[in-house]
Amino acid sequence: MELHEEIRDGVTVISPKGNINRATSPDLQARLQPLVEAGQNVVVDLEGAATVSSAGLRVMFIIAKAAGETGKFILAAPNEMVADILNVTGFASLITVEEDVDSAIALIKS
Amino acid sequence: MALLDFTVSGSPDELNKIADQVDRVAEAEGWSQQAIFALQVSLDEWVSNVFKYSYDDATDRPIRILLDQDDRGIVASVEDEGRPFDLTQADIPDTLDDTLSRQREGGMGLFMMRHLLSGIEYRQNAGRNIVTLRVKP
Repeated sequence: MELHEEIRDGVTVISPKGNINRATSPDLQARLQPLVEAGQNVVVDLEGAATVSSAGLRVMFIIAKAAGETGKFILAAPNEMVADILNVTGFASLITVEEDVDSAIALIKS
Repeated sequence: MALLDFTVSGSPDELNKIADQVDRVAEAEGWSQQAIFALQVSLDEWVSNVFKYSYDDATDRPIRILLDQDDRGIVASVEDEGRPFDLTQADIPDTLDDTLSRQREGGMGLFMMRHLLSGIEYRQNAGRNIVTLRVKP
C-alpha cells in the first residue's frame, strides 16, 4: 500500500493505493492519527484501495472515534466491493461515506 | 499442479507476499475484481487468524498457501500445524455492535469471509489444519 497526501480547500486528503490489510493498516493509522488528534478535517480517498480487510475497517473506526470530538473524518469513493463491505458490516452507519472526494470536502465545508 | 503453492513463515509481514502472489496469479488467470477482492480479504483474515490464534504470534512456523481452479470455481487452501480451530463451527457475531462491544477481534473477519466466499471447509490431516476457501471466478 502506498499513501498519497494532498491538501484541498484546507482539507487533508489521504489516498491509500493497494490493499488495506493486516500488514498495511498500521501505516494508515500512523498517518491518520496525528492529523485527527491535531483537529484537522480528513478525507480518506478510497478510489485506489483495491481491498479493505477487517484490520483496515478497525483502523477507520478508531480514527473516526478519535476525530469525533475535534474534527471531521470522511471516507470517499469506495469501490463497489469496499462499499458492500462497509454496508454489510454496519460501518457505513458509523462512519460518513461519500461517493467522491469533492462531495466529502463540500460536506466538511458546509 | 496448483496455480500457486508456497509457504510463508508466521509473521504479519508475510501477508504482503501472499497478496502480491495472489494478484499475480489472478491477473494471469483473468479473474474478476470481485473474486480477487474475496480472495485477498479472506486470505488476509484467515492467515492473520492462524498467526494469532493457531501459532500464538510465533513468527517461525509454516503456513502453506495453495491456489487452484476447478469446475466449481477458485479454491484457496491454507494449511498450518498449530492449534486446531474449526472456523465452520465458530460463533460469529450477527451485528457490528456485537463485535465492537465484545471486542472480538477475529469475529468480524470471519463474518466478512462468510459474506464473500461461496464455501468454507475445514479438515485435519496428519496434524495439519487445512482450510479450504471457495470463490466464484
